[in-house]
Amino acid sequence: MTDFDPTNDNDLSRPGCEPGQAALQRFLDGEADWDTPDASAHRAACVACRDDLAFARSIRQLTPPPPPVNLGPLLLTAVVSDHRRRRFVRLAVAWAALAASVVIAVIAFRPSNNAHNQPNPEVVVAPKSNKAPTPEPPRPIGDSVAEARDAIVTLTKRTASETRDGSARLLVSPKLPDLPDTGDNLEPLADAGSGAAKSFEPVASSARRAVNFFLRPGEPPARQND
Amino acid sequence: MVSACRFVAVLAVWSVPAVAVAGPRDDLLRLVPDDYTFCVVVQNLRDQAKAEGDSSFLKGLAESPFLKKFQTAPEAKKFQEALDTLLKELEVTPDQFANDIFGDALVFTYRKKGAPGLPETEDGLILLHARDPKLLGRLVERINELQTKAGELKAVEPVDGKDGKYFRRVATAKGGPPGYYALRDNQLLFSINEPLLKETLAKRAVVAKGEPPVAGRMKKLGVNDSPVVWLINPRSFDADIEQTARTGDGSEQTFVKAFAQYWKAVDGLGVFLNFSPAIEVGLAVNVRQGDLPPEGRKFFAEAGKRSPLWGRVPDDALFALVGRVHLESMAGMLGAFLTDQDRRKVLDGLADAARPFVDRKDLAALARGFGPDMGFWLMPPDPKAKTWCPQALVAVKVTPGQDGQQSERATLKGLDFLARLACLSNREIEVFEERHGDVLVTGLASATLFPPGFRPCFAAKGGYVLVAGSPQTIVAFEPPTGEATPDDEVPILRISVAAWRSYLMQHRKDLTGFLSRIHKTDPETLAAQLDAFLPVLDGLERVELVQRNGPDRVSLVVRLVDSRK
Repeated sequence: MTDFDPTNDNDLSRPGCEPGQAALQRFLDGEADWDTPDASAHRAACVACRDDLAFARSIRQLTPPPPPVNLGPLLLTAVVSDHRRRRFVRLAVAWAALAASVVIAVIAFRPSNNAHNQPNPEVVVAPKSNKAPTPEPPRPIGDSVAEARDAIVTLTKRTASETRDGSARLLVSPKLPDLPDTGDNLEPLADAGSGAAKSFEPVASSARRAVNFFLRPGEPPARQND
Repeated sequence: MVSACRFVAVLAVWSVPAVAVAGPRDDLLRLVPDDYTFCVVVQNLRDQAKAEGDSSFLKGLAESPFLKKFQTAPEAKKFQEALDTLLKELEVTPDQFANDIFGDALVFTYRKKGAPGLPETEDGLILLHARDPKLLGRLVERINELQTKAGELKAVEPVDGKDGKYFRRVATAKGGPPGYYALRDNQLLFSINEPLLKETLAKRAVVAKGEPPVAGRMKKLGVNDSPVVWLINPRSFDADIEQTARTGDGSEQTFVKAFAQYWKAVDGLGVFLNFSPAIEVGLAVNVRQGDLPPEGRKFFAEAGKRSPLWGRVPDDALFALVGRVHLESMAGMLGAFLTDQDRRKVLDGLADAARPFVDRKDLAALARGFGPDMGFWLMPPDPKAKTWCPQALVAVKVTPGQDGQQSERATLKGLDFLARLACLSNREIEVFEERHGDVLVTGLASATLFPPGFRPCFAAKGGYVLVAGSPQTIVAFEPPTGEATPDDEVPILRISVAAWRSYLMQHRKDLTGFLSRIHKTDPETLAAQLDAFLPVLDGLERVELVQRNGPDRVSLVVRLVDSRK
């Protein structure tokens, strides 16, 4: 099971589709011998490459004669938009799965109601100061807590990744029409995103420090230096 | 006690148990420093656990094969073993731990200090009110004893302070920093900062009257009874935000300055979790509306009203997102976060994209011509229609007057252009036009590319621009006539889990067949995954996102509604 990595962009070029994509590029460049047996065989088995070629053909019919120099960026925009859509779907599923896994973890490990309803044990013996020493020193409490925490973290990651993988197969990534190309005019919106991140940074960094403040001191000493 | 600090933090979150009433909680909240940065309040978990025990959704989830798989995983076993070991070492039962120790109230408070840009100094406090003070005393003793034997603690030294005795836990080199604690009646007060503990003890020694400020803040945020609340003190970050606004570059600086205007109007923030009567997670904000910029005030005032479109969303809609978005004030509000140059650039981009349909000079009219009521919902297919494809509808209100007419014309022209472009791009798609009374519906049809029953189309009807999955959906839509009304709770999004469950069971075969063609997988595998997933949804009626409104308060809440309550 691989960890989810939203920054993984390797589906942009569709691994395995190189013959189809190279032929498509030659077609868009207006080369007479654009098709090859390899590319043709690949398209026979690949719906996405067939769709791309059909799309490219329709564009040619729509705007004859097509200026090849403009089609490269158009195709790139189309592919990138599609990639962004798929990435968005992946992210959404991952977040939903993560939220679900937290709920699951809480439910799975809450004390059972049966336990609540049981009468208290008759006596819980408080340790006496003159209790005979145990043969071995007990394990530090921090170790047990760290183990429990690690198990929860691993289980949460596993639940998230398995739920994500399962859910992704139940979702459709529709091919929507691409938005008109606005060039780099919408870049300021991306800059605004970084402004937003900067605005919330004091709260976010203090929250991280607060969590560490309460949790870190209790780490077993070996972990505190990690 | 250092480990105890962490121990308390982890187990309080993962065990779901007990408190009661404002009494013990307010006794603790009185001790929270006024200049806190964050304060986490855990209260009333004992009663909440009982309510949670009645939840059919949680019961169904716990019993589902999906979750059972994880409950028997090696990690789960390891966690259980570690927890058992811990409780055994501490000589408490889970029930005692949940009800008698953490059943009443637990408060974490964190305070950051220091000028912006300089390394922060910080301190924190853990305050616990236990139902059984004797058990609490024994637990503390036991933790000290175990840590001493494990070589983490060198000694626990009593200190005679001005406000009574407290203890210094002297840690060994491998035990981390020292800690200080005091036991007072049912309360345990702990800090790794001795002056803060002394300050807290001094505060405790004074007979306090009235409501503690933190409790007052919780009331104003509408989270007074929430079992888990994370309070954020906005004033603790004013200096940081001002500093960021001074030092950033052009675009960022403009954004942060605009953000600071909104931040200054915020008096309190709280993230909360409720278990009863429904499971809720939310963000509550106290905001002085009069101090918001005018565009923001207008935008939020409109968003706080219930759209009449909700009256047109069928109860069994699979998904619905409906709201009131005042586009003009939203554009003004968002524009304030951009520099003049960036704003012009974005407008150029939008004008360029829309140029086939609307003149640049008319772009502003588009913002005035639509809204504020708009919505999108997805409905299960009509049983008579012999299709498995859900029906979707987007409805956007057109404002009365010239701006609205102009916007409607431009939009219909644009949609018509896109439809014909799609037709040109694929020979298997056709454009159709149908007249239903006064309404002209234009759309796309394809016998080979679209699922049965899916004929995307658009029309203008009764003051709304509609885009739908089929002409029948447009025909069935009756434009609402009522006005938007302010409400204490305004729905924004609703996912009907019950309707999804029913839809998935009814159309399982067609749906898995369709998905398996898309994902190139075996339909049986997909069907098995659906079968494993469906029991998880048992007992859950719907998931909602709502906006709660109160005096100078707005909360966004995600709610899971149980079907059997």
